[in-house]
Amino acid sequence: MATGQIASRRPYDLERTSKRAADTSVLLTNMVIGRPGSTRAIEAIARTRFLHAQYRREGKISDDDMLYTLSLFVLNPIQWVDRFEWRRLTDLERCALAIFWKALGEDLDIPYGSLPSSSRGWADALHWLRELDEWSRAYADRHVKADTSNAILAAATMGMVLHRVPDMAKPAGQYLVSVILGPHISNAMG
Amino acid sequence: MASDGLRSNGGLGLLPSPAGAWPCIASVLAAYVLLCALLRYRQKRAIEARFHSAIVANNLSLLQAYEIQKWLSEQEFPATFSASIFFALFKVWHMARFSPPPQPVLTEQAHRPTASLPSHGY
Repeated sequence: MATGQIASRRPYDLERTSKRAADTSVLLTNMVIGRPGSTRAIEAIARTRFLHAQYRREGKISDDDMLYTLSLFVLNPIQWVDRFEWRRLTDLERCALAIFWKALGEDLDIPYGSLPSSSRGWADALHWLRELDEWSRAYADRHVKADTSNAILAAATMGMVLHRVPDMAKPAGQYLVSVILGPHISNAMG
Repeated sequence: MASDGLRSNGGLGLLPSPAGAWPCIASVLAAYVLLCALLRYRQKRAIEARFHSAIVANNLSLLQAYEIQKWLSEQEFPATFSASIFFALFKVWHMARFSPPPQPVLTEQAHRPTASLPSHGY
């Protein structure tokens, strides 16, 4: 589901991975930091839709892939704050994140039909968040599997993450990244 | 005599000796932690007070949600949010696609700036 990788069969390299990370980061930052309705946010959303449209039309990226990606952007910060920060997020903060990302998902034309309550609607934003969390875990169980292309891409991305780490510390760095990513992703990376 | 004094203090006599420095360092650290906790809890309470009516009415608007999200990602937990989003991307990039091709997605003209404010009703 990695757009750039689908588009091209070229070997993965540090430069391409790095550029892709930078491009994604710019779009994502503008979508998240730009006030909803602002030119900054609208242009970033429109550009993201444009970049994905062809792959979605051709079936190379499914709606569920898009929803899973969105779920990671909502859920990962919440999980990380709960695990690593000095306090957990409050219900108000979780609710705010859910409302914001749900709206962004709608702007990105991501359907929520895979969530159980999509037809009758959700009681509130936290309800949507809970369903998204459960669905996302199940989706990862089903779809995140070992694959040769993942291992190649993993090596390129890992190289980007650790490119400033001294060679002697790289094995420890790789281990740390694997722990942070969790067993699912580590296994999928081969 | 003066030179003996300087040597015994390990310098100009203005700084405490290494052994005597630990209580100072500990006090500064404790004060820093206390101040951080005080300011961060105060900021958290201020945010909750600001959106109190929306919480009570269970009616947080998108713009209010955006303000809270922006505060969390830029001020409250910037490093954690930034790192977690990066690792979310990492996860996505390493996901094998095993899903069957979906029905053709009827996308609108992709480059049309249609990002109007959604009605995020539940």
